[in-house]
Amino acid sequence: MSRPRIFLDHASGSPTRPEVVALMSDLQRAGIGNPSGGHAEARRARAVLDEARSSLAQDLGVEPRQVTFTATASEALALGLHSVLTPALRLYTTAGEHRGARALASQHAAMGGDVELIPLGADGVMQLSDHRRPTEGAAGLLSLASGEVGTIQPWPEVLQRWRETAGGPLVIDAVQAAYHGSITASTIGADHFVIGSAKVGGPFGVAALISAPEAKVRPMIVGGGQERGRRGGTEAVTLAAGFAAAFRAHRAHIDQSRNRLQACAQSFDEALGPLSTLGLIATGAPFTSEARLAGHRSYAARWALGDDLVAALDHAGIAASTGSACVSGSREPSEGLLALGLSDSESRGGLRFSFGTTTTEDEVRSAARIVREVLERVRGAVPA
Amino acid sequence: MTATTAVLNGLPDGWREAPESSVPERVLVALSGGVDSSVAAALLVEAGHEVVGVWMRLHSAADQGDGHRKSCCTLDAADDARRVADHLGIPFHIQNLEEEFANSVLDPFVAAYASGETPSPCVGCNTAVKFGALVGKGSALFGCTAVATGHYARRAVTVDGGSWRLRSAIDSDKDQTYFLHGLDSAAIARARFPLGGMTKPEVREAARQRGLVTAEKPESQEICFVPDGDYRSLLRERGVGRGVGEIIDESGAHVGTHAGTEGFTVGQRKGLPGSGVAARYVSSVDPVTNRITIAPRAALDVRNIALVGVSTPDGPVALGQTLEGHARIRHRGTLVRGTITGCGGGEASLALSDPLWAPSPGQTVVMYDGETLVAGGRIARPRPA
Repeated sequence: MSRPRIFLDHASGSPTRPEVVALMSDLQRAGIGNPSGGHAEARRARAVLDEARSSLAQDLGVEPRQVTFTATASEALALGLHSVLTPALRLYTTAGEHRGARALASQHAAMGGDVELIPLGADGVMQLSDHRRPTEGAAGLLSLASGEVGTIQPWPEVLQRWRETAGGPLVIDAVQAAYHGSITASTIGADHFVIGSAKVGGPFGVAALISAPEAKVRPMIVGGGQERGRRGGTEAVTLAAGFAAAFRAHRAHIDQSRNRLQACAQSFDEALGPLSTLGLIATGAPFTSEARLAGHRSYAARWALGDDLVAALDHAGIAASTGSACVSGSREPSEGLLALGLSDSESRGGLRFSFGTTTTEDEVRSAARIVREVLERVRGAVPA
Repeated sequence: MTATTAVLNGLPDGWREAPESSVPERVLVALSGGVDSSVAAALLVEAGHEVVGVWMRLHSAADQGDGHRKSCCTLDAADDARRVADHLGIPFHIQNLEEEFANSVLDPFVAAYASGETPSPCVGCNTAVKFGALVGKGSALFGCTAVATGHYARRAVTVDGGSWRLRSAIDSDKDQTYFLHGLDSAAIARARFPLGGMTKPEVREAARQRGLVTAEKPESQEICFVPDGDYRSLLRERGVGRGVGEIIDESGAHVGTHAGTEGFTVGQRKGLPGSGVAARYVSSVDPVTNRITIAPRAALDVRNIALVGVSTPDGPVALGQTLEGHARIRHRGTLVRGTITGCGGGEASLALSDPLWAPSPGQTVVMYDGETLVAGGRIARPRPA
């Protein structure tokens, strides 16, 4: 296809920053290899890894030893949860979590553990009210912000309510939130939290678990004792270096970037026009609210499958998402949307556009026009 | 009697061949993950069409792997379809048609067995899903004006271009018009069958030449939505079957028991008791009384068959309408001269010049005039005496 592409799926991972590509390519060319070994080459790799860990730690306000590199955010969440969860604990989570987190909760339930879903308001905010501390103890698996509907949880109010109600160790998904604002370990206040690389313009294939100083990490992979015995297996030094560099570069301009993304999204709203004329409803926190991820727009259509809209938009040159990663075209409604009180058909029709630092004003205007055309055409063809 | 399984050559007066389109158009290709649809897509790309590849997710078999690579509906099939699309440089999308498939194929499949019929699920899938719902989605989502598949079939059109029919494929061993008979004129007009003029060995060779990953894949054989082939367990899950029942002969005498009528079809020999002097075959299946009747082979020769759901590409067969040609009651089955006479409400009778053996209620009947398919329907259940 020769038509120009407009990438509006930054929430699933932004293109790698050019300076990060250059750094990683330099490292690979220099022959960076296995950091475990008694020779100069290994020490050189080890130094790069240490530097990456140290840089990330500094940005997040922790000590380097609190940073464990993993391959993916899902792995880091699993490692964090594995470290705090015992079969006897009741696990609190929400239906709005990332698929990877929901799968961990399902696994706990399948092993006979208790899982309780914290209800979400229509805007996606957690409703921690009558949750009493269970006698058996509790752990929480929560996200600071929803990639699906863009809602940022009111933190530290939620943290405070958690401590007053269910209590217990918390594992926090901060992947989306880290893109939006300057999170630090002290503002999150969790036992473990997770950040990802691709979201901030780093490479795919690396993420990190950040643990409180006193929190133990129980390894899932013992391997050769790497990462202080927390995650066995040879470290991906170049990826870790790219991650740390991208994180720092993103943080350096995070406020300007947030303002720009908010402006992008507002232009998109204006150019798209009234949602009701497109048969869409907005999902999650109000678009103009401070409680919404910058550059994030989420909708639901009751008249189409989200996958179909994504396919039609793709054909028209726009990369969008349903917001809820799903394999092989299942037509199950999104649990995250059902939890906001949306109907089954609306929950099958999720659609998300997420802008990034590389999105241009021209792209926003063209995208809005194409989205309107495609949605009108598809909706016109749907039997009433 | 001149028994033949090859459709006669030639077009009826007023009809002409409809060659596959040479004008570039935007075509949706239903990629199954098999060799046929892969080559169909490749040929369309090479002919200069703008091709959009889709793989249809039809049911939960899509969540399973398929060690034997024989079904079009598993995760492995989707992976193969995606790789072919990548190889050809065409976009690829998974289209969810589970609801349409359940309504048009799965539920009728179960209902047919429950009523003692032997269904033809491929017919419903082609009519309602591939050349029904998928056409609508292709048009709405991608602006496609045609849908192509890897079926072995060709098309004919009236000289004035107003009416369309299916034509049998060049390769009479592979001809699939039997399973496509439900397509009406408008659906045939939008259908593209790039393989209709090729033989299967030619298609395999074309796949090899193009380096398609599906070139050596085995033929898909099973009912696609039952990858392990055990359709009876699907029926049990859906509550079909009353369990053990009686087998009787034509005189009504008890000759044994069966494990459930849903495991039997007219003409079946397997699973019947005894190995007497003369072989006997299932002659009727009655789920109401939970009885199977068996009879000697000759008793299953039939010259008159009652049909339901009979239609031509231009609509249901009308009361008193007659259609002459050669009929068959099985895919690649013997063709016999016959006349279909409409009885109203889509019902019809088929009178044959020579007998056909063991027509099984629920199975498809098609009639050809020369190489064009003029009508099709289902074999009716015997009326209660």
